[in-house]
Amino acid sequence: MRRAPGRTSGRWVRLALYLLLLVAVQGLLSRLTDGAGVPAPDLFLLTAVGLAARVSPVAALLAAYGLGFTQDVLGGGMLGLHAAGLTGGALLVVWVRRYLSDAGLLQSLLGVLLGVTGQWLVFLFLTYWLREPLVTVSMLTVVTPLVFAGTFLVSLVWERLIAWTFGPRVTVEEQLA
Amino acid sequence: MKGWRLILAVFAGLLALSMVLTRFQVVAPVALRAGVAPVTRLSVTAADNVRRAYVTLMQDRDQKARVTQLQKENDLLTQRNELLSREVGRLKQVLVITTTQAPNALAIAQVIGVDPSPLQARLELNRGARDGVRVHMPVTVPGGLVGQVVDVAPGQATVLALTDPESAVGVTLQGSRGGRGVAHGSPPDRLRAEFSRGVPIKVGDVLVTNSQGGVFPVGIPVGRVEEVLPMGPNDVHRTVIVKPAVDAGVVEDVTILEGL
Repeated sequence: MRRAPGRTSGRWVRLALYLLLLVAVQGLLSRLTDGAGVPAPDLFLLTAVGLAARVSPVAALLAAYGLGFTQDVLGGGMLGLHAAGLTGGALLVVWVRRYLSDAGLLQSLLGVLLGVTGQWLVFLFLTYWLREPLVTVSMLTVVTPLVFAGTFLVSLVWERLIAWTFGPRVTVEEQLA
Repeated sequence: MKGWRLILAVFAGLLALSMVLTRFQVVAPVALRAGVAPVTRLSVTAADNVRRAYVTLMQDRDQKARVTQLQKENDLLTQRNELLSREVGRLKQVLVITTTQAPNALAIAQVIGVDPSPLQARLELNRGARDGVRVHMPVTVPGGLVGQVVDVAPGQATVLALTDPESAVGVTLQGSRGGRGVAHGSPPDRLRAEFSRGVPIKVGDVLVTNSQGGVFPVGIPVGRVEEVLPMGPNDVHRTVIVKPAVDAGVVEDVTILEGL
């Protein structure tokens, strides 16, 4: 079945707008929360989690990697660090998504929790791999809960934007089919 | 199961790629970031403005509290200043009195009551026997004599002002020009003084206390002659109307002298 050209271009426009907003709002939140001394909510992670609940698993992993890579480029840090982190988060969400409904607060909470957990597990692995203090115990006890809380709070609003850009989540019936 | 193998293989591949990139510390060229620089700059500016607005709001709130606190302090200090100014005024009054009228000032007292009768002129002071006040002590202000104490309670004293009809004070002309007379109160606000016929008194002369009666120190201003009444053929005294040097109805702080 061929899609109408207008509909396809509309999706790309929405995607471009979304990415623009993603960069702008993430920058805004980072700047604001830096002043308050708390870590910013991770909108890139939210996007990766949102995609993991919507597209096929492999596409979700690739998209998450691409998003993380973009985050690395924009942040000016080591390339591949956030890319691997987001991919880890997406992998966990992909793993459990068939057990989750396509809407609801608990589902959002679990999605963010799994995303943050997967991301930080990968960070821990890379810390071991690089033999560098990327992740410390104090970061795990202080930063990670704050990132989770902030990201979950923002997800209540940001999820609507993700749905507007990428469409609704895949239902369990669609996955089984 | 086959699907999961693929997924894990993709994940492993991506992870391996990241491991290599991070191991070699590959950093993206700055030029790649330049494309989104306007967006990030916009975000930073917006965030800074939001933060500044918040800070301004907080400072404004703090400043309001500070202003309120300062206003309270200011009210307190103004009140204290008023008290101190009054105290300074009283002390200056004592200084003037001790240097110009009599050196033996007993205390400063405040007028706490005035006789409401238009036919009498009496004041209530907030000093009494506890403070060493006794009957017949003179009461003055820098401008002149107010009267004398006629009644004393432990914490209060009553002063008979010069214009009271019962008041009588020995007077003389200022500047050692001689003449002895007695000034009686003439309600509501004048004195009548009587002098011998030979005293050359005229309108405008200033009368001061003399030692007559042994109550008042000599030389305290009593008043100024306002009118010299015509004398009859059989009069032995010259009567003058005197405007008191002090309006007893408006004085607030007075000085009580030890007396002679």
